[in-house]
Amino acid sequence: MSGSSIFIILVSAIFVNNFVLSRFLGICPFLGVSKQVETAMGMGMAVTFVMAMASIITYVAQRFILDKLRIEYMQTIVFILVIASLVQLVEMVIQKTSYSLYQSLGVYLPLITTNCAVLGLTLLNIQNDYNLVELIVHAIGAAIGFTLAIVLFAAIRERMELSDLPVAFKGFPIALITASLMSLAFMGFMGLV
Amino acid sequence: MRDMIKMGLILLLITSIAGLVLGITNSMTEGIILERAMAGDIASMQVLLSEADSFEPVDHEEISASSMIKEVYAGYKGGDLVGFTIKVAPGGYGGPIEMMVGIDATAEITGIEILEQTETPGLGTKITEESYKTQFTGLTADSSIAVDTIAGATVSSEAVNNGVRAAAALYEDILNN
Amino acid sequence: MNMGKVFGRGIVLDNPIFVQALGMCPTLAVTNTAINGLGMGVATTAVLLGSNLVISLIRNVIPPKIRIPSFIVVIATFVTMVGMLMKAYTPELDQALGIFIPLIVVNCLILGRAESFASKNGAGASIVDGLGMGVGFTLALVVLGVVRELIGFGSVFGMAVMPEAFEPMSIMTMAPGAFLALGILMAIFNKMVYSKSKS
Repeated sequence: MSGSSIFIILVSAIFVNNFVLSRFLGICPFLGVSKQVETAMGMGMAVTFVMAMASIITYVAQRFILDKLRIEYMQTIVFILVIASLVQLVEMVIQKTSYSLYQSLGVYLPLITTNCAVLGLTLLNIQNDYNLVELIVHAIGAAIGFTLAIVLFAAIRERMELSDLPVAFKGFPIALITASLMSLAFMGFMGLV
Repeated sequence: MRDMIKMGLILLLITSIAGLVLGITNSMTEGIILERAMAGDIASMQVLLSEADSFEPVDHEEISASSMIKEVYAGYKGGDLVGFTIKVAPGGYGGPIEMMVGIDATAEITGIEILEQTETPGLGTKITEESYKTQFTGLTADSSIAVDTIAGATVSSEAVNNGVRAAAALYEDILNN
Repeated sequence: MNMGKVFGRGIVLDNPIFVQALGMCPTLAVTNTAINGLGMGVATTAVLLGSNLVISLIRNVIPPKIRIPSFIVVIATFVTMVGMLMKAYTPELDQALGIFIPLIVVNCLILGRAESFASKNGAGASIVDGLGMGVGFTLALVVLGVVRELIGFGSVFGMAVMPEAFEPMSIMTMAPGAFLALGILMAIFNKMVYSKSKS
C-alpha cells in the first residue's frame, strides 16, 4: 500500500468528507456542546480517544468473530455494545488515574455512546474495506475533522451570543444557519483529492 | 458479586434473545435479498448484451485475485459467444462504486451500468445519468480508455474510468484469448 | 393519562425535530428528497414502536444498573430487523439511506423515549407515545424533504412540479442546503408557536 493513499484518506476525512459538515455524523454534540470553545475542545478530545479505540476493537470483532461465525447481521448490536462498554471503561480508567482529566472530560463521556460519528466511523471502516493501518488513519482523520468543526463552530457561537437576533432565530435556527455557511466553506475543499 | 453475575446473566439473556430473533429474520430475508441482487444483475447484463439469450459465469484465477473485478459473465446467443459483462468496483468518492461493463466479441464497449454507488447527491451521482454513461458506448476496449471527467465530480467520474479500464484490460489479457 | 394528549404532544409542542432538536443526523442527511425523508421517518417510527413496546414490557425485570445497555440491545435488534426487511423489500430506499439505517440505533430520540417514557409507563401508553413521536418525526422529515427537493430538483415525491424555466439549485440537495433549510424551517416553526402561545 502506498503512502499517498494513506494521505488521501487522512485529508479527505478531515476536510473533504468532514464527518460533521459533509457526512452529517455527530450533529447532536456539534449543536449541543458547542457554546464555548473550551468545552468543545474537551468533547473533541474525548471523541478522538473513543474513536481510535473503537475502530480497532470493532475491526477485530468484525474480522475474527462476526465474519468467521458468519453472523454479520449482529454487526450493529456488537458495535454499539463495544462502543458503550468502551466509553464506560474509559470513564472508569480516567476517574481512577487522572482526576484532572476526569474533571475536564468526564461529563462528555456518557454522551459519546449516542454520538453517531463513532458508530458511523466504525461502520464506514468496514464498508470501505480498510485494513488496520488505513482504518487507524481514517479514525484519526475523522476525529481531527470532528474536533476542528466543533471548535470553529464554538468560536463563532461565542461571538454570536452578543448579537441581536429576531426571537424566532435564537438558539438552534441560527446555529443551523451558521453551520450551513461553514459547510459551504468546507465544500471549497472538494477538489482537493 | 452475586449482583454482578445476575446482571451479567440478564444482559446475556437479552442479547441471546436478540440474536435468536435476528437469526430468524435473517434466514427469512436472506434469500429474498440475494434474489433481488441477482435479478438486478441479470437485468443489467441483458441491457448490456441485448443479443445474448444465456449467460455463463467465467472463472479465472486473475478474476478471483483482483479486488477490482468482482464477476465476469459470458453471454451466448444460441451457443455463439456475443460478449462479456464484467462487474467491477472501483473506489469512488463515498466508497466503492459497483458497476458493470459490457464488451462484445469485437472488443467494442456496449455500455456501462452503475449498480450501487454512494457518491455525493447532485455531484458524484451524475455518473448514473444516461448522457454520461452513453459516452462509453461504442468505444474500443483497450487499457487507455477514458472519457472526460464531470466538473465537480472528478473523483467519481475518474473512478468510473478506472473501472472501465480494468474491465478493458481484463478483456485484452484474458477474455479475448 | 390522556392518550390524545400523549399522542398530540409529539407532533407539535414536543416535536422531536423542530422543538427538541433530537435525531439531527438522519434528519439532515437523508432529506434531499421527500421520499427519502418519508422512508427514514417510517423506519424510525417502526423501531420506536417496537422498542417502546418491548421496553415497557420488560421494564420491571431489568435491574436499574444495566438499564441503558439493555435498552440499546433492544433498540439495535429492532434496527437490524428493519434494515433486513428494507434490504429485502425496498432495495432502492435501502440504497438511498445507506449507513443511516444502522445509525437509527444512535438516534437520541429513540433512547430518549425509552428512558423518559417507556421505562416508566405501561405498554399501551408507550405505544401511543412512540406513535406520536414517530409521526411528529416523520412529518418534520417529509416537510424538510419536500422543501429541499422542490428547490433542489424542482420536483415533489419525484414528480416535476416547477415550470420549465425554473433552474434547480442543487446546493439544496447538498450539506449546506440541509443545514440552511432546517434552520429556516425551525425559525418559522418557532414563530408560529410563539404567536400562538401569545394569543
